[in-house]
Amino acid sequence: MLRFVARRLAWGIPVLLAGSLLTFVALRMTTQPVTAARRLRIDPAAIARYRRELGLDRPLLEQYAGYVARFFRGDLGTSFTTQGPVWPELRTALVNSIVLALVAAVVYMAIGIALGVVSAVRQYSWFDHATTGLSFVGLSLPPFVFGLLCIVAVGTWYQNLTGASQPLLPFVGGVYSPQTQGFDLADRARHLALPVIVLSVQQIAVYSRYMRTGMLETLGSDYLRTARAKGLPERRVIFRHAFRNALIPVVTFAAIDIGALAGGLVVTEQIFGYQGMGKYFVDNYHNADYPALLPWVMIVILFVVAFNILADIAYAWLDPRIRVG
Amino acid sequence: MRRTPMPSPVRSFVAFALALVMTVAVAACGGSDTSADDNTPVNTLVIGAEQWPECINPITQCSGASWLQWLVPIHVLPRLTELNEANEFVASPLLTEMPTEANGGVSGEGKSFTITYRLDPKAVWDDGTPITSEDVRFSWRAVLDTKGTLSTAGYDKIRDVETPDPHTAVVRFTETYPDWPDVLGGYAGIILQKSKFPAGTDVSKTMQTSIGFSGGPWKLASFSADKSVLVPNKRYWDPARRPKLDRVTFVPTTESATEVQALKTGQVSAIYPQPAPDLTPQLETSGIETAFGVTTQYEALFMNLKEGRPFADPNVREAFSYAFDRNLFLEDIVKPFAPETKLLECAAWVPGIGPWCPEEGGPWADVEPDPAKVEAAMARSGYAKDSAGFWAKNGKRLVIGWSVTSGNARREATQAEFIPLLAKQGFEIRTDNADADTFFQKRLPAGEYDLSMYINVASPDPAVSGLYGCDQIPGPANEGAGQNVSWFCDPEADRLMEVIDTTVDEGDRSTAVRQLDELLRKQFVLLPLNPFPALAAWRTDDVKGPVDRFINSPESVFWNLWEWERA
Repeated sequence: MLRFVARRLAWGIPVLLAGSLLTFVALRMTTQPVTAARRLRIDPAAIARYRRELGLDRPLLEQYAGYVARFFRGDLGTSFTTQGPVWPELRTALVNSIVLALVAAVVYMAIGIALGVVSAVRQYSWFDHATTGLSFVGLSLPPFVFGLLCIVAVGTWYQNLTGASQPLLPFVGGVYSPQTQGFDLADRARHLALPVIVLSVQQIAVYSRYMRTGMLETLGSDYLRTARAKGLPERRVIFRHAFRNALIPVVTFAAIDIGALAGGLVVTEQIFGYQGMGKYFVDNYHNADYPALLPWVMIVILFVVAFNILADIAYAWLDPRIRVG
Repeated sequence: MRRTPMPSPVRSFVAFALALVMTVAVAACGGSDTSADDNTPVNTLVIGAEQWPECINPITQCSGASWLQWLVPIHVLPRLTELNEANEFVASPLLTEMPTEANGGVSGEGKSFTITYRLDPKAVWDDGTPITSEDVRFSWRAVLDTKGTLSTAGYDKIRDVETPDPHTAVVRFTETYPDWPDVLGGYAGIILQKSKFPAGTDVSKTMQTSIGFSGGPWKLASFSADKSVLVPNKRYWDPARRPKLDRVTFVPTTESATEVQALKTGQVSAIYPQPAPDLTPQLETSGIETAFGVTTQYEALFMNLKEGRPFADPNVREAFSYAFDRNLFLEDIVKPFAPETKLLECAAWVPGIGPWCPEEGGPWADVEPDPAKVEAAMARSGYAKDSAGFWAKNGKRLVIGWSVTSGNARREATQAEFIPLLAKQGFEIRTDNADADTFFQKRLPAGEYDLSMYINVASPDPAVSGLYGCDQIPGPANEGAGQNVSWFCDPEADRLMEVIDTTVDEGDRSTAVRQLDELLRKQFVLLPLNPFPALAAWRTDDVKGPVDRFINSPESVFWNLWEWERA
């Protein structure tokens, strides 16, 4: 297992380099820091100086190589826009995205898997029909539309109904209310609620469908019939045998899904002004600030690689027939 | 159908999941109203900001964002001159008087051009130390020496800043520089506290998320990606400008739908959004007041004069100008959300922003729909209508692409209304839209458009050589960074712009501006539409005071934040 993990980690390095090179080329082809500066009405003399000072007049390969060398020395670089180090802002965005992604993942996986299991066990019941119908509604709702609906619901509608002076849940201020000073868990949780709800609705639908299909396949399999014939209690049949096996594809999907969440949730974060990785990417892309974007790519790739390895390990743990080596 | 009873482990699992969700929900909803209210000091305001700057350094590229100026520098940092409500440069509270020729503050010409500033001895930083001429000198050097400086315009014309005594700064220019009030003053000029920068005059690595000093009515208590907090500067020396609020917090509300809801639900007390037809009706609700004001922005139809493009032909430009009904545009597109708006009749200046553009009677005043003039102009270039009724020459139909930033509902509505109307006059116009980044970063600088519609900013100073100078056409000479994206080039215009750039006398400058305006109109370089209005909206149960006093400068409604009060 250790050799497997080490080999997968070693593969991560070329993936990281290839990803960063592709991103570098893509960003340099689609964005131009100098013309981004022109949009801000910076005078041409300053722009010319700016090009030289930022090394934009050097060959592209030299720029890329210099960047990668600095990255592996632990220097994530200096933002074109802020002239400050990239890491503090990126760290904040990463932490915020991880918090949002993990809380949302716990919520949508718990609900989605539970709904999927119950739907499968009670196939064709009213509960199953209702879950299936709601899943399609959830899948069809774009986060942008659902986010705005939530805002109106917890804001205007709630206030009109109750006469309250404040909305039920806040949607302004990012991760805290404007008046909050320092760390405040309750306030943090309140600000997390709407993004988590918006993020979860589609994912609950996805996971419930996955889980239902997986459970139905396992419940109809020969070995479960054998298990029942041996007289095993239904609870053991379902949880020890059916649930565990049905979980295998879901775990794989979940690991990749959570890894990708590190890249941020652009739409959700934009709607709620949540300072996560998605918003970080969009803001810096607008400024063509590729020194700020390259570490973002590196971190996202690292997360995807790491969670893929986790998926493989979980796969092996859940299914003893699978051996890695 | 056999119904399988739910086994107990499944019930346990469901119960666990529900308990987890309930826990999160309880934590999220716990004390919803009270926690916010308990923390809220009585005399504070929260204001929504439509854009949010990446950092707050007032010298680097960060300062190019208008919202940065409105969030921090205009409240926190002192400056030598400022703009009054009539958009005139006046002495800021930092000066004892505005330098003039009469008081000896403005002297010499050419290489001996000198401005002498007298600093108010009462002026102090928030730590009680006086604001001195050494700070003025340091600030000049900081603009020149800082890596990634936004603009060195004017600062690079200064030979030296002499400091004969702590309260006198003598600024010696290398040549006559009429726009001297914009240097270290005006809208974006600032004075830094020298003692806070021990590392020297390259301040690029500083002031990322904090400014540890203040010489303005407010101090910056904190700045982050989530909020910017101002508190009063207790040592501010001008009693008339001492803030009436204990704290003002700006928060980003960058999604327009969220921004309106934030105001309606009381999460913010005021917003300053870009006006739009669908926005005004949403704000028409009890408890919310709105006000429109003028800004330094103007919207126009910009034509691309680059060789090979349809509008390289002056007759086509003229014909198009007489085909487009500007009054109809004003009535149908602008007035529904800003009823007081008038047509703009100047090229790059707007009424009220300096004396450069009259309210009425500007050069474009006579440009009204006139089919006869359209026909005559097109005929002069050999165009005739083809069988479908569109202009064509040598068997080739004239097709014009019209570019706006995609997703801008107002501009897309303009295209939808006016393309069929222009077709009736023989112009085949096709939409050629692009997202804002592609449009502004790639297509405009590359001259890849025929007709575009966007907003430009008029400066209180009338210099427009950056926009229309021959040497400002993007190309190798300016490393592709020139801002003359209309590809207009005319020696006489260059001569007039040189006069505007280097003449101090306001009368002479006005004459040159008028002549240049006439020349641009004669060649139909663009079709001005209207000064773009500004909109402020606030909750009357939260805010009182002169919040609707728009200033004719880029400072927006926030210029007098010290006068705002809690209702």
